[in-house]
Order: sequence, then structure tokens, then C-alpha cells
Amino acid sequence: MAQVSVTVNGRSYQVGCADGQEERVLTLAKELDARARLLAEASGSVNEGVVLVLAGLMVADEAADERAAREAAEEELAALRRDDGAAALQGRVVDLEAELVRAQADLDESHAALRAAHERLEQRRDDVAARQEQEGRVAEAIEALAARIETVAESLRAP
Amino acid sequence: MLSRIESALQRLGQAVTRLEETGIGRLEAMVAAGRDEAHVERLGAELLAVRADYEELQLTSHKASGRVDAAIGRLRAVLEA
Repeated sequence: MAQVSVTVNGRSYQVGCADGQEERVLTLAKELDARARLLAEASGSVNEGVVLVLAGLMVADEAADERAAREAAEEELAALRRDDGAAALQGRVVDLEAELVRAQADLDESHAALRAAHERLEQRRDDVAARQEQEGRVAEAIEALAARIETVAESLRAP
Repeated sequence: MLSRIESALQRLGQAVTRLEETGIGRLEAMVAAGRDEAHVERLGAELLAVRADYEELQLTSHKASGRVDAAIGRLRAVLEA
């Protein structure tokens, strides 16, 4: 563990810190020292312990403000993300509605084609029925002709 | 399976065959003998009517049609000789 000598409000202190953190500790000590000097001058207090407590309270207050500001920013960011999510969802809804309209149009087109095919089928059935009826009439006429020829043949065959 | 028209045409062909096989000879004999002129006259009228009905059917594309026409033609020729 490293040892760093820091000076706060004109008095030196030896403090331990993790290796490599010496510069950071010195920087923080300067911050604390600046506040302690400010408080000592403002209050006129010469009690070292009181000055350090007040300086600590000031730093804690600043840290609390920073923490509150950070939490507010995080909440705002979350709200913005929710808004983004809602906007994306709305966009998706619009896309789905457009897709639904296209699908409905395709369905209508398919129904129309199906109806047309059904009508053609009905027409073909009618045509087939009409042709069968016509063929029946022709067959009856041929059979009648055959019967008359048979009658003629029979009348010639008879003695 | 034959259609109804094909069956009817088959029957027509068979009727013409019967007419050709026995009818013409008998008719020639009847005319030659000079017998039963009223009967022969009725036959002639019937043959004319059959030919008219046959032509109305317009069966010219069928193989039986030529035989009908030929058989009736021969019978008419005998009657008009």
C-alpha cells in the first residue's frame, strides 16, 4: 500500500491508499483543503476538527446534489427511452395497419377472381346441360328415323 | 360406353342394313309383278318423307348417312322405274 502526505487547512496527514491511486488522493485532498480553508476563513473557527467536519459535510452535500442530479437525469433518460419505445410501437402499428389494408385488398382480389371462376363454372355447367339436351333431341330424331326405316323394311319383308 | 347419339346412329345403320338386305329385292319383285300398287305408292311416299327427315338431321359427317341416302335412292329408283 502506498503512503501519501496530504495537507488540509495547513496541517499534514499521512494516509494510505492503493498503489497507483496517489495522484487521485492528492487531487481529492486539494478539493477538501480548498473547502476547509474557505470554511475556516468564513467561520473564523480555529477548531481543526470542526473545520474538517464542516468540510466533510460540504463535500457530502455536493455528492448528494450530484447523486440527485444523476438520478433525475437517469429518470429523464428512461422516460425518453419509453417515449422512443412508444413512438417505435406507434410506427409499427401504422406499418401493420398498412399491411392489413394491402392484405384486405389482396383478399378482395382473390374473392373477385373466385367469384369470376365460379360464374365461368356455372356457365360451363349450363352449356353442358344445354348440349346434352340438344344431343338428346338429335338422338331421339335419329331413333325415330331408324324406326321408320325399320317399319319400311318390315313392310317390304312381309309377304 | 356409347353416347345416346352413337347408339341411335348404330340402330340407324342396322335399320339401313335390313332395308338393303331384304327390302330392295322384295320391292323389285313387287314392282315387277305389278301387285298392290297402293302399297307401293305408300312406300314411295314414306321413303320421300324419310329422306326429307334424314336431310333435316344433317348427318352428312357420319358413316351411316351415305348408306341411308344410297338405300333410299335405290328404293326410289325401283319405284320410279
